Amino acid sequence: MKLLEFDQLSVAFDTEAGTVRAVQDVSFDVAAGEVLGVVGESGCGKSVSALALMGLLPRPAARIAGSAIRFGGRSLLDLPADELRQLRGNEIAMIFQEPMSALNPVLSIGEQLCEPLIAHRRLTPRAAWAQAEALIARVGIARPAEIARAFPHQLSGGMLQRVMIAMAISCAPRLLIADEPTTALDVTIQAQILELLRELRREQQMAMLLITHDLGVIAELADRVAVMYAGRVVEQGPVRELFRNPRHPYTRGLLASRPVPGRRLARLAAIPGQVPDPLSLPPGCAFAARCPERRTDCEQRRPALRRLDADHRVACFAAEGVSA
Amino acid sequence: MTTLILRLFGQRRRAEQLAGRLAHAHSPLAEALRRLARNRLAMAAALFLALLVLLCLIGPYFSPWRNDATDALMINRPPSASHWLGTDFLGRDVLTRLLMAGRISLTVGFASVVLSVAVGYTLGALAGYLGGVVDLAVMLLADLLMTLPSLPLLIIMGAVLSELKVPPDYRIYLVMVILSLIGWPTLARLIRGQVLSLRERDFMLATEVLGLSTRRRLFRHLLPNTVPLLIVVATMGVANAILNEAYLSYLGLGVVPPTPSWGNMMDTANSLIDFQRRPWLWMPPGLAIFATVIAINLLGDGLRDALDPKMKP
Repeated sequence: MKLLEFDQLSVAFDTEAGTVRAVQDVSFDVAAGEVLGVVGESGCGKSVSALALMGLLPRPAARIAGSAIRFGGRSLLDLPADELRQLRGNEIAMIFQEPMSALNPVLSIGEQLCEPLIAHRRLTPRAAWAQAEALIARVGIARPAEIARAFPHQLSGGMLQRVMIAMAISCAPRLLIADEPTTALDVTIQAQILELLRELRREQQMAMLLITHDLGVIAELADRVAVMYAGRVVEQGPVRELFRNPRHPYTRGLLASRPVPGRRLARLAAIPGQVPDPLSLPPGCAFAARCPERRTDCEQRRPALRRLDADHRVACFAAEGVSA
Repeated sequence: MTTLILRLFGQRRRAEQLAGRLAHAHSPLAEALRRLARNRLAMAAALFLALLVLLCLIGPYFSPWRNDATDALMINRPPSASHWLGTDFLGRDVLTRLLMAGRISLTVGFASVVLSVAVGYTLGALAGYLGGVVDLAVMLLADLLMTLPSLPLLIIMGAVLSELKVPPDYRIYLVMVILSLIGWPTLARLIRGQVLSLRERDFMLATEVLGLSTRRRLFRHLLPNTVPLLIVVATMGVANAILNEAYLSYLGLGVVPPTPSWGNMMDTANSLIDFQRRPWLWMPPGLAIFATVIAINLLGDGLRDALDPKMKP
C-alpha cells in the first residue's frame, strides 16, 4: 500500500491581482520507506504541495479543490485540525531550508528538541531531555550534553540542520518532508547532511518527500523523481531512468543546465525564456513558449500525464509521438 | 576599584574564551545582561537608582523628624545642621518629606507601569496572535484612548476625584490606575507589532509543523521572544509614569497633601516668595525627579542596546 498519495491536488490562491493557480492536478505517491524527489524551479508549486500535505496552507486564502491527499489510507484534507496536529511532528515531520531561522533564538537546543517528545510521546521533561541528548548524538554531533544546553546562535549552519533533523526524527515519523534541506549549507556540509539523511532512512525505514531544485541532491538520495513545472507534474519516473532517458524537454533542459565537473563549456546551457506568470497561465502546455520541440498545437492543447512504460510518465506531445 | 572590577571581568572573559564558547552556554538574556554590565553609564544609572530606592526605603527611619510632624517655631528655615534641607511652611523637615515622597512617587511610577504592562501586554499579544475581531476591537480601543488628549482628561479625572471627596491615602491608587490607563495603548501597539512579525517567522512555522498546541506555541515559543522589548519599554515607562505623576500632583490632581510626593512638593514653587527666597523647598524634589528620570532613561537606553542592538532608532 502507498504511504502517501496525492490525488489530483489543486491549490489556488485568491489575491488582489487575480487567482494564482499554484498547484494543478498534481498526483504522485510515495511508498513506505521510499524517497520521492520533487524537482522544479522556484514557484513551481513544490513547497505549496508540502504545506498542503501538512495542512498548513493559510485558509481561506488558499483554495484546495477537488482532490485528496491520503496518508496511510486516511484523507488528510478532511481530518479535523486536532487530529492533523497529532499527525504532524509525530508521523509526518518536516525540515526546512534555513535551519538558522527555523530554530527559536531564545530557547536552548535541548529545550526545543524536548517539545515534540513532550507533545506526542507524553514524556516527562526529564526523560525528554535525556532523549534529546540521545537524538543529538544520533545525528552525529559530538558532546551532546553541551550542545543541548547551547543556543542556536552558538552553532554553525550544518550543526543546526542536524538539530532540525534530530527534531524531525524524534518521534520516528513514517514520512519526512525535506524542503530544500541542503540549499542554505556549504557544499562540504551538504554532502554530510545528505549522508545523514540516507543513513537515517535506511535505519528507520522512513519515507521521504525530498523537495529541491538541485538535481545532484536528487541523484544522491531519491528513488523516484517528479519534475514539476508551473504547478504541474510534467515528468515522473525512477531516478535512474529519468536521468538516463529524460523525455520531457524541460527535464532535458534541467539536466543539460547542470555544470558537470571536468567538462568545459564556453557557456552553461540554459533554458531560454521565463516561467509563465502564474496569474495568467497559457491554456496549453505551460512550457510551450520555451520549448525547443514545440509543435503547432502545443500552445492550445495541454498534454496529459501519460504512462510511457512501467513507471515512467510524461506530459508532452513530442515525447508521446516518439514512443508511439 | 573600578579598574580592579574591570580587570577581573576581562580575565574571566578571556578564561571563558580559552575554555571554549560552549563551556558556558548562556541564554540570550544572560548574555544581554553581561553586555549591560559592561555599559558604565547604564550601570552608574542603575547604581544611582538602587541607592535612591534604598535611601527612600530606610532613610526616614534614621531621621529624627517625623514625616508629618509640624513645628510652629521652625517654619521656613533654611538648611541647617538639624534640618539638612530646611523646613517648610508648617515646620516639617524637607529631607524626611522628600524621602517619603520618593517612596510614593517611585511606587506610583512602578505600580502604574506594572498595571499598564499587564493590560497592554496581554491585549497586545492577544491582538497580534489571534488577529481578526479581537485585533480590531483592541486596536480600536487603543486608538480611542490615544486620541484622547491626556492632560485635559487627567484634569477632569482629578476634578471628579476631588468632587467625590476621595480620601488622600486612597487617591494614590486611583492615580496609578489613571496613569496605567493612559499608558497601556502604546505598549499594546508595540507588542502587537512584534507578535505579528514573530508569528510569521520560520521557527513559529516549525512549531506548527511539530504539531505543538496553540497554547504551548504562544507561551513557550512566541512570547519569550518579546521579553527584550517588554523590558525596555517597561523601564522607559517608569520614567514616564514618574513624570506624569509629577505633573498631576503639581497641578493638585494626583497625590494630594498631606501625603507627600515629588510633584506636590514642587507645588511650593507656585508662590513667588517661596520660589525666590526658599529654593530648598522646591529644588530638592525637582532635582530628584530630574535625576531619577535621567537615570531610568539611561538604564533603559543601556538595556535596549544590550538586548537588541538593532532596535536602536
